[in-house]
Amino acid sequence: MGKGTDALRRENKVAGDIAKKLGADKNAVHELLQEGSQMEGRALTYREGLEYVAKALGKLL
Amino acid sequence: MRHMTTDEFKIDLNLHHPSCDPETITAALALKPWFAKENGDKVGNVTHKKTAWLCQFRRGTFDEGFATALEDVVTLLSDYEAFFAEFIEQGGEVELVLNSTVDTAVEEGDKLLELSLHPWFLKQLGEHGINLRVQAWSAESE
Repeated sequence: MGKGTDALRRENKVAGDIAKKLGADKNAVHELLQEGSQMEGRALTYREGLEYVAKALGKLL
Repeated sequence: MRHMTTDEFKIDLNLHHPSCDPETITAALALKPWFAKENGDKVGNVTHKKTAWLCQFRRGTFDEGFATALEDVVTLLSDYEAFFAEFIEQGGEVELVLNSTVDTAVEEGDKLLELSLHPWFLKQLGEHGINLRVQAWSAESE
């Protein structure tokens, strides 16, 4: 199954904002957002994603 | 991890399992994950409901190394066939992620990506019960 344009745009926006905020690699941020969303059973919000990615990569907020 | 440049590929191997210890996977496959969490681990407010083990398996450029990287995938599946079979039988999931970069400095109607995979390779994935995800990324400007 693939993701539609809207879902990709949303993911790109959230991942881009988080990558910029944390100074993290975008590929890794996307993968981690996918991981966190899979665990929650829904897409993570920016706040949830930021916290998840920061903890996963050992970055300070 | 770093972002990908033009003509670069990256192959990731992602494993998920209801209960397996990530260290068992690392030891069994002799590969180092860049992210590994066990079922029950908490990351921020997210509790992992299954074990996650994410590994960057190969990366390189399409001119050099892509064909070899696909052969390495098949070799890995073959060498650890028993492990993957048992892993999947226990409810685990194995996913191969082919990441490719695309040049976004294009004109309307231009082709952005062409990825042809030999039936031999796809057969190996299918026979081993491996999921395939293909992702295209805009390349980092050089």
